[in-house]
Amino acid sequence: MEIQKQLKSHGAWIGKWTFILAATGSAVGLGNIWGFPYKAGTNGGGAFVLIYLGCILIIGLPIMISEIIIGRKAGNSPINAMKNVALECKSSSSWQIVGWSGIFAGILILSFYSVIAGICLNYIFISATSSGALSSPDQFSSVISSPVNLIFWHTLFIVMTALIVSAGIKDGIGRMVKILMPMLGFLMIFMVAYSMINGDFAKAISFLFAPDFSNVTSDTLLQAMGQAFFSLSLGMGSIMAYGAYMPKDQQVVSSSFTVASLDTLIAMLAGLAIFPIIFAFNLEPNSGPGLVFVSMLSAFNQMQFGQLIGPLFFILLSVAALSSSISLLEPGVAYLSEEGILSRKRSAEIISFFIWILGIGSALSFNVWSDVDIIPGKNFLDSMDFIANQILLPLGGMLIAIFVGWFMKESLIKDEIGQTNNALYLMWRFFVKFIAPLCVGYIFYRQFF
Amino acid sequence: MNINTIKSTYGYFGFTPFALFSITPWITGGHIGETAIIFQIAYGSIILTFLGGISWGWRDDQPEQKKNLSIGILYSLISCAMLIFVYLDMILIALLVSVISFQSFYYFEKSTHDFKHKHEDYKKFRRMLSLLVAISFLISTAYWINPYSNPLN
Repeated sequence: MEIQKQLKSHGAWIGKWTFILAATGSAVGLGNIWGFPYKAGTNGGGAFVLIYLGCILIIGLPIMISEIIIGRKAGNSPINAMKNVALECKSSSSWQIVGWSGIFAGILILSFYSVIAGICLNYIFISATSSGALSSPDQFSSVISSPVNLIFWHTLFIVMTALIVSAGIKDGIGRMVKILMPMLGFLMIFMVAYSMINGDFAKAISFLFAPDFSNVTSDTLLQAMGQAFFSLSLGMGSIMAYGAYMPKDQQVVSSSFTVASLDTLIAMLAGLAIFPIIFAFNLEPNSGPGLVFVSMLSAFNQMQFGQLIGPLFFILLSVAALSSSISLLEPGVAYLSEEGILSRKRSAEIISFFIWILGIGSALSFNVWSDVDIIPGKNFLDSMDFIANQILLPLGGMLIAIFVGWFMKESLIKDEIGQTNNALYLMWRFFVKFIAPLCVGYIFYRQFF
Repeated sequence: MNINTIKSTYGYFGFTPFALFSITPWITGGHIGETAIIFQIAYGSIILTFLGGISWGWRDDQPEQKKNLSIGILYSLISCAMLIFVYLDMILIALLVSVISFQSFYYFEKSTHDFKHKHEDYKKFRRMLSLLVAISFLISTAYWINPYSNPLN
């Protein structure tokens, strides 16, 4: 009854595909698009992809299922979900710290993510109007050297995110993911088809998928484990918050499997959209902002219809970023509104404002504050990234796996998982109890040593 | 297994050569790639002839069945034309005809009276299979017109 009441206060997903689209939208972000293809290509191609898929099965999926189970069981925001489920399992209410750390990580990530997503928005217009007179590295330098420009686009992106989240689960996030995700899929297929016809597609396939086991080292394993963990938006409460709105009759395991598969598929398609163009113009494959804002813009400047294909590509990036950003904001907003501290709309406004202020620091890290260190050797943006991605997320993910594996009552787990193959269930229990915490712990350890 | 499951199992099994022949060129390139595409067109022409023949087995007293018999023959003739195009080295035309033919046969089958009364699973399977086959031919078409992989360049 209490859960039903809480669900009513937030709303619930309409139809089983809304959760899948929302969770996939959360998982598919800039990291998938500009990170995974390069990692795969430089770490053994098909060999890396195989290892990555293995890591998804033993780390990503078990933790994702755990987050959904906790979220749906409680029907609350991550903080209250962890607290309520822990109390129901006669454990300490201090487990709520996992929820707090997730929300805090989400806020920090969104603060710099929105600055980078803002650059994507800016590039929609730059790529549409670029004459090629300014080289792409100079163009990128001119974009990031202007604090006013960065803050303007950062503000626009944060406002868009806040508007969607403040509109609620059904009318805001639920409605938007039903628009954004098919749009992302359509744009991705269009880009792949374009690259297939015009780019050096065969070379890209060879770069991404030809297995080269001589390139596989212990570092490859670490990269694959990290990618499997970080790419699914785990440890930040987003999946737990989305799980809270999942209908009770929806299968947790198959939904998680679908989300992980779609996330991987989109990452691979991104590689097949980007690298044929990079190779066709004899540009060096790389990753991150350098790949999309420098190399891709350079290719768009040179290609036929580049002023049309370029904006479509940056719209694709912006859509991926927006679908992730709403999931970063949602856990905090859900907490404040369910506690009755503020209305949902007010919560979204206040948290977004706080994120916007933090984001200004990240925007300035590209220019006037580039030499200002918050953590020794790291500027503002890098410090936010370090605290969130290298400390809070692995800790959160590890603690979630430990809680579900060692402290959560089996009867509660089985209630949420429902009818499933017993061997599959036992395997999942084994992974979540032993393998996932150890692997995430290892990722955490290797970030420092 | 019920009859619809058997049909879809055999159908998807029959799709695997299409998938294999459309992916192979991108992996191997060169002469093997070209051969794979020719094999794909040849396999497609066999399947299209088979589909054209199916219409002769539809219920004789369903509305417009006389017209359906003629349309069925048309698909067998298109299959023959596809092989002639390959013989004349007009691979791109053969590929495009294949895409259009498989999709249009699905619409032809869908328009018949009896199809409307088929099981929903069968309808979904037919739609998906036609789409997959068309995509496999589109992938091969992209290989053929791509400036970096076209064997004629």
